[in-house]
Amino acid sequence: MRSLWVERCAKVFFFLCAVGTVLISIGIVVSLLGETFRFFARVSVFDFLFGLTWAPHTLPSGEEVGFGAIPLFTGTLLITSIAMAIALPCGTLIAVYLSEYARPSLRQVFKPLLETLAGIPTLVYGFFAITTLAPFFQSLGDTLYITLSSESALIAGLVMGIMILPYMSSLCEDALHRLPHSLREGSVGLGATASETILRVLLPAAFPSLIAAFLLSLSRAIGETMIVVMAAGLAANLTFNPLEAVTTVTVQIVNLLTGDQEFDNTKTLAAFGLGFVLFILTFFLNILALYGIKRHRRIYG
Amino acid sequence: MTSNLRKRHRQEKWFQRMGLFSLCLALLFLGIIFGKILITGLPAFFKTEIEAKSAPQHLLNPYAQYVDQGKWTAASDAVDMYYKNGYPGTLSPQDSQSIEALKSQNKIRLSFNGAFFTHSDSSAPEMAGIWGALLGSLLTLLITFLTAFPIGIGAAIYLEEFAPKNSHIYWIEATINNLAAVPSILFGLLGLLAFIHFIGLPRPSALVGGLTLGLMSLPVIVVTTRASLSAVPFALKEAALGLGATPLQVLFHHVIPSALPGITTGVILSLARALGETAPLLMIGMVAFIATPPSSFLDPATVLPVQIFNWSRSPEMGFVENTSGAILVLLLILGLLNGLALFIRKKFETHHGF
Repeated sequence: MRSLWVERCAKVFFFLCAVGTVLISIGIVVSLLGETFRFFARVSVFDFLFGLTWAPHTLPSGEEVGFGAIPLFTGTLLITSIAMAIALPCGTLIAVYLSEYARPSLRQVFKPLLETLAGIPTLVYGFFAITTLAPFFQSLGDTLYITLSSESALIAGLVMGIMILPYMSSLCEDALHRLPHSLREGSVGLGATASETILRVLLPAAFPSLIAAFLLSLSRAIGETMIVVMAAGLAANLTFNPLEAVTTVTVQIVNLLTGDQEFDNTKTLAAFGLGFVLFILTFFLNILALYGIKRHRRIYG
Repeated sequence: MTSNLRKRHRQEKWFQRMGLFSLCLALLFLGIIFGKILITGLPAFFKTEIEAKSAPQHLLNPYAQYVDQGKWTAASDAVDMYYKNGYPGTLSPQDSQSIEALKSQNKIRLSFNGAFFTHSDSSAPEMAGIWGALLGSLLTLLITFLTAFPIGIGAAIYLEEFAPKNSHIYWIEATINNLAAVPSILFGLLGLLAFIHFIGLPRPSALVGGLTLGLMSLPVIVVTTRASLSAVPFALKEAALGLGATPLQVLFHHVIPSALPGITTGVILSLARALGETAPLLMIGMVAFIATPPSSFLDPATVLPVQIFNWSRSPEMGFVENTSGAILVLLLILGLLNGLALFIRKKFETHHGF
């Protein structure tokens, strides 16, 4: 009878572990939501989401001004778009090459390499951006008579694209490799060349998974912090010019929270408001991506 | 007909070349990044030394006189930079001439910079080292492991082996999968609120850092552990159950041993990710300048990535070298961890061919 009792206790312990993990998620939502509500008690939702100037400070009269987050959203959008413009074509092509063209031995070397590279701390990329890429681009800009900010969105986006690349290609490669072999055989048997098979059969078949890979990479790029903290600017510019410095949501969260500040400070609360926006955005991207992967598994499981 | 075929074959060749080209391009970029960091970082492991008697006092390191009593004494930061990179900095022309003279007499040399590994942070780049940060990282990771490992494994076992298949469980699964992809900075926000504001733990301590990173690693461990548990064939469980084993016996005698290589790999990789993480630790205030290595979990501590971040913001030339050196150490540790994970996966890979 003792063993039955142990069985039950173990089961309860495992259940509590699972609940604990879910509690983290609830904890994130509740804590972010709570602080965000306190923030919105001081700054109106409309001013925050649609305001055009980001320069948070408190006027002597006690009025809170400069909490318009639009420049941060456009900055994040600009840097992320540059990164995805590099990672999307390059990542897909690398995945196609490794999965369909490369010899199995080459694939066996590159697949773990990609996974290792995807785990490199992003700090390293940020450091490379400020010490090497920024001076290089500035001298390049000088010779071409283009004024280029040393914290320009172009540099941050470029480095972020390189950072995303191993992750993106690893995910895409998984998607292509998981496709059943009969698809390839059928297509080649009908006389299609390898590239026609890839473009007209394999890529459409893997489309939900590829979209999922894209969305997961996008959500990683949006939430990426260290590269932009090091390589992007602090001043909020409302611009789509990649040669100018822009700031992002994550940079401002770090900026608002580093240094000793009171918890009741509106700036601190603003960081949680931004964090909440970030959470909602990445949450939807992740859910969509996971749905895509699930659908793909259901078809080709 | 033939021209059409030729066109298709040409397209085929171009497509393949494009794939190869982008692979090479990506490798080139990554090669440049690591090459550059290697070149700037390697000098950090060496320091310039001068024969003390033959050199003017101001070329020697002001701190070194208290440490080095032998024949060779560490040179000042400016001399160090000049000797390694030929970068004159604040040195006067006479100084550079006397260094050249020392060089021709073999009275200046490069030696292994042990201080880089044994010292902690300092405001002088030539005296700064990574020991405190390494120790902080170790303590932090220990906490991360102790919290995330048991809970993560337990949750994965429940979801994979015991959970009923209903809509509640579906939502729990979806939440955990989603949590594994949430930006790390948000775990920092949660850590700040929960551990510092709510519980009131001391701010830049290894305990808070480790707990925060534990929150971050937990869902990743759950996802990877579940993947390796689900790879264990059902026949194995059925056979054990059929012979009268209880579910717990099946689990501990058959399922877990069979899934152990995968679980270990997943845990090592998630710890490696936690080791390289900076953003959530910035949120909980681990950015302070800390010159003494931590001696307990509650002492103010810093970790290697945060140390790198702090150094990278210093304007002094010497810190660029230190930053790259510390990055090299970090990458080496991560490489070793990844290699270990890969080795375990290859060595103990079980092929369930039934």
